[in-house]
Amino acid sequence: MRTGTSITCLGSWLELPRESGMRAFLVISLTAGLVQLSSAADSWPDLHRSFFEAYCLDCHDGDLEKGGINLDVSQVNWSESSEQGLWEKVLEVVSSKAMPPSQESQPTDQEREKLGVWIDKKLSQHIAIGGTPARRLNQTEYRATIESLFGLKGFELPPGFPEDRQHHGFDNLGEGLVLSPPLMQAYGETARGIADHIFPPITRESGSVFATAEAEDFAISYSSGKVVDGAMRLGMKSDPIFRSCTWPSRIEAPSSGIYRLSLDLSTFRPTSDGEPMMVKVYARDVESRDSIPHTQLRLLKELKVSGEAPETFRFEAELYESQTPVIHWANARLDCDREDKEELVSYFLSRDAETPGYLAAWHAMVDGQAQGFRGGVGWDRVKALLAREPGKDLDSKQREALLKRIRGNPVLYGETVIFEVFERGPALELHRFSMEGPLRRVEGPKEQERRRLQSIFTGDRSAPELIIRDFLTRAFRRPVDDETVESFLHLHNRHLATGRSADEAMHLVIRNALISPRFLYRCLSEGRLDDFDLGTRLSYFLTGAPPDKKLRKLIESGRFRESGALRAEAERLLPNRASASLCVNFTGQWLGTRLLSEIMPDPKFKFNANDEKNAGLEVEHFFFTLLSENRPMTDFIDPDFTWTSGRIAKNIYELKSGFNKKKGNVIHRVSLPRGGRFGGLLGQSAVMMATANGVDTQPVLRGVWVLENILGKSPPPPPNSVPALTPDTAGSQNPRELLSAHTEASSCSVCHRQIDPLGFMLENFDPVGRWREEWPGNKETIDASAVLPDGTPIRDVRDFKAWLVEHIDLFAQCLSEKLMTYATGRLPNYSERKEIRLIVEESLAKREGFRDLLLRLIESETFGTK
Amino acid sequence: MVEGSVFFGVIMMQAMTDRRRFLKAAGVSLALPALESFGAIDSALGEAPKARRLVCVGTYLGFYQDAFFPERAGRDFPLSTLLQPLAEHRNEFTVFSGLDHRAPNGHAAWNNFLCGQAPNSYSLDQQVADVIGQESRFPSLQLSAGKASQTMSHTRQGVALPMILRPSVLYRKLFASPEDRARSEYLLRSGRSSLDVVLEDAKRLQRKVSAADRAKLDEYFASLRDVETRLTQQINRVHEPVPQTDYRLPDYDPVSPTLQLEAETIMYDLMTLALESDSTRVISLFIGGLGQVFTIEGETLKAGYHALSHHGNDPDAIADLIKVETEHMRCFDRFLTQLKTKTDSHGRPLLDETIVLLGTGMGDASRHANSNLPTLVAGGGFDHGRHIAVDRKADGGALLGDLYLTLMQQMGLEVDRFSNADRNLNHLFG
Repeated sequence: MRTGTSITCLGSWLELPRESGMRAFLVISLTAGLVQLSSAADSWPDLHRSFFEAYCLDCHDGDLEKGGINLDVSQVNWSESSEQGLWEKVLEVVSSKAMPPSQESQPTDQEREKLGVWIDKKLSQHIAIGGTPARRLNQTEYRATIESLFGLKGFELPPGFPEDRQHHGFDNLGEGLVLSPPLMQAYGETARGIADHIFPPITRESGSVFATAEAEDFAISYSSGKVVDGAMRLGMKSDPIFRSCTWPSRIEAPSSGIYRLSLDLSTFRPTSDGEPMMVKVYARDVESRDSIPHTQLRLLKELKVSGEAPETFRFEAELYESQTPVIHWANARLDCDREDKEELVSYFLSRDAETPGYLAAWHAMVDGQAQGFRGGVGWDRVKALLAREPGKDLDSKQREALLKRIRGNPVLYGETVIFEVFERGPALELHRFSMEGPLRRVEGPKEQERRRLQSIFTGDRSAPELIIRDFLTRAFRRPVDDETVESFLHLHNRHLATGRSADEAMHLVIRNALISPRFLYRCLSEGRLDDFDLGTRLSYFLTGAPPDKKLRKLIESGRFRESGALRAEAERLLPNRASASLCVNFTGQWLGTRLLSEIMPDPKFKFNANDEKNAGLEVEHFFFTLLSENRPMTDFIDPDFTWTSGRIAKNIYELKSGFNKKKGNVIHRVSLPRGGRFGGLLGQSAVMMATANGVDTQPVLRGVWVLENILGKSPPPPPNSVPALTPDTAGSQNPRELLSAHTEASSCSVCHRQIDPLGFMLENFDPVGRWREEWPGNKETIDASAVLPDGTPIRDVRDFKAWLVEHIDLFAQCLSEKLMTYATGRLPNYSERKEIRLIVEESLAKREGFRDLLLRLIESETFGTK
Repeated sequence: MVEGSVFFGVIMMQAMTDRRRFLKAAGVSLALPALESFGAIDSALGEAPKARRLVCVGTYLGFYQDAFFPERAGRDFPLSTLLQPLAEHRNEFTVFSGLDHRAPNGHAAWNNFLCGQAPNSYSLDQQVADVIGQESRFPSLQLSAGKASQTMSHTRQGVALPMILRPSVLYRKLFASPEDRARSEYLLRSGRSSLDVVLEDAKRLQRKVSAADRAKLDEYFASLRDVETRLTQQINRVHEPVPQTDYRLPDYDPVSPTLQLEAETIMYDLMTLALESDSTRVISLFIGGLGQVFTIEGETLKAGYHALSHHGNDPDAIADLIKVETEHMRCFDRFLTQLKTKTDSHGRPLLDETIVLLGTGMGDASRHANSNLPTLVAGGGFDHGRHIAVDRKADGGALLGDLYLTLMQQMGLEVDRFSNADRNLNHLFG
């Protein structure tokens, strides 16, 4: 090892170089069973004492205590976690040859190995696998748990629900998931909201309606209708209701039921072919969007109107709470939807044939106009122009230009020409509407869902104990002891005894179950997880939600503990799409790309909100593909594909082909050459954005990011007394020179000698991930070169990627530790990292892919222990 | 208009309602509970802030700039077309030009209005509510006249707060009926008395877990005890009187887009009542703008509101657009009148200590440009009656956020940073 570093900061990120041959002593068979925990303090064997005297104590004795480390001790208390940490570091720097510093006298490899074996043995003996603190459901898990427990699809937490803190980069670690009074308050309020949703408070009789609306009491949107001579005229059949439909603006169903509707309709100058006008009446929630297509609404009735005198149509229809009928003329001629633009063009052509000068008047009106003529304004002008110059000719060029404009913006022309239709027909006329009811109640979707939910709690009223036991078992994700059932049953019965209803008693049970620690925390028992806790850990890890029915059944049947069952369930629950919880929540936190929504790239990068969204999706799709296709771990670093949008492929990734030009804003799979600037995590736009600030790059941040998330080393935070040094990469001075203070000042250099070169290596990527050759401020050529701690010189990120592919075990170990952290809710300790290392080695040796490795991790002791 | 018999459902419309029926709210009586006097709070805070309430009104489609901004800056500025309806209050408001958040263009950036440069971040009203909100029944209210297409109020975490669309829902919230209050009391009491069961069970659980988890569960117990204390406080307060009013809502909720101006009028009325009863001190109101076609003074406009806002400099479209915007200003004028007429518990006009911000996240809807945002501030104890024309260059690039800082400081908040702004406009506006 050529680069000496102090153990106070980092150790070396490149521990255990291949060529050292020192790896062997760490591959010590792992005791699968219980680790013996002896708390007795341990004396130094003389052999090791002499090692420390010879190589360490000159600096690390009680007097000098360099880096705050004193190794001049007579005994070690191996069960003390602070001492474990110290000796882990000693082991790391001694075996990686980071210590003693290169200018000091060096122990032989044999001496190093001997000491290493001994420390490893002690640490392995005293550090047991397991130890996640009680793990509260985090916000995402809590939401998904409620959704699953009650079958409430799309359940949303109330706004302002307290956020979780990230701890070591993840928001699901036991230690970081504290429970605060405001959060408890929010749990209580959410629980009440759910209980109310299932058993709503008895409201006053919601009333009935007997109401009449005249033509002017109907809603008009854009150019959907116009009141002429006391009738509302409709003339368009476009899909969105705000272009074609109308509805009474002050009438809505007070409750779900059958209503008697009456509509007075007539035709205004119908077409001569005698075809009746087809009218469709739909139901619509008054608060829903008015841009939805009528085809998405529930059809209540179809009517045929042919008379020019008003005819009254009476019918009964089912309306749900807060709905009102919507009226649509289905076989109107005019249509301005983009896909039907030729129909609109044919209207203009036929009108021109009928009335010479018609197109000329439009042409004259439109000339020089942007779009201010939309609506009746434009039509009034066309009319005036037509009256002034009837029969005016339009040359074929002008004519084509006009038709092209109509095709280009059919909505604009349709919403204008409709005013002609309102005047001259054919139009449907609506004179009067009335609504009465409900004649009898019906169950709408809301009521049906409520009935389904209530049925969970009202199955057999005579046996509340069974209902409660069943609900608590599912809510608490494991069998519930009799005492607990008893206490909730007591709560229920006590409430009944005060004269409250059975619904209210269940309402109270729900409210209380959802604030119980048995619901809010998971995996509370010690040691090896039992089947229920293991199933719970597996399910939240892979799906972000509690075990589904299939897994629950398997666990209850006892077959989950059979050999191969865990692996089979894991395979079943692996993500089946890129938007799955593991792909989104794990990658977003591991890589820090969750931050993306908070970064607004400077407008000069021409990176819009869509690009930002797609950059984020790339990471998730990429991860999903590597997992589902079981691709080699090296594909994380140097793959031959990625997922991206046409815009990003072209503008950021410098691709000339291989992407779909029609999918400018849609993410799709794109081939990339291996060994290039782009491809893999180091070079993805989202990553480069998340490690910059939207305006300029921050090499230190990027260096730390590479260390932590690719190489798996966590540099300590800068000392409090030192201000953060963020070189202005957009400034006039050379950023590398600006930062040289870092690597010169001795208090900084121990860490920054490792951080800064890795950061500068990524300087070729601008704040949105585009390749650049020079710094924007001083126009100097970017120097992205570095010397890696094993002495390998690199020119830029391409060399680093090649080196990482050669040393893929470093990355595989890092990713495995991150996955394990996310899965178990704790940072893996010494023994656990050792188990992970064995797994990674075996998996790589067998040339397995990412999915294989993940499944091995799930089957590990570390995963299966609390 | 025939009055219906029940609160929610029955509607019987004979003819277009006269919207101005609701303006009579000024004559509506409000029975106030005995309120804690402001004096007690003042002494606790030291120097009393000049403003105690904040109302933020945002119009989705903004205002036609040429009709909004006065021609001249200073104190004697001539009232612009859209400011004419506010003539009576010209010494109670200040109009600003040249301010914005330096945010990108487009509809999506509208959400910046109260948030500063980054959309969907901690909004002005919520920053204020988080400091002063606890002093009233509702820390803040978020309302919408017409269906909301954007978001306006955002929590510290950036979560968009839902807005109340139906006046009947707001009314129920403000003037809780005896049934509603009985239910709240039932929920509070049953909630508190059942806590012992959860606690007992949790203790049993705690005995079985490891020492580390026992410590972790202590967080749970501490939080639960806090909830218990709060429940007790709430139970003690449940019999405190709530305001009662004889203000009557129409028998339907004006949620249909064509009834937006009606909804706006009613929302302003209810907002006045909410401030008068000190039910809240922070309100935001979103004024939407979809495709609805308005009928104004008996004349149906020739295009939808949204279409008019894309006027493309067509004079006829602009004329119709100004008609709609004038109606918004008339509603706003009546709101200011009410705030001047109604008084707080000390007999001072509400407007004196209420900052009313009228603005938008849209500078020019025709181009979707988000610079030079039409902005107006009324009330709140400022020296008003001016048009403050901020020159982008000469004034060192003052931002709308700088004005927000001045507003927050007027309310006694110790803040010196809002989004991309870190100065204030105190030197121009005090």
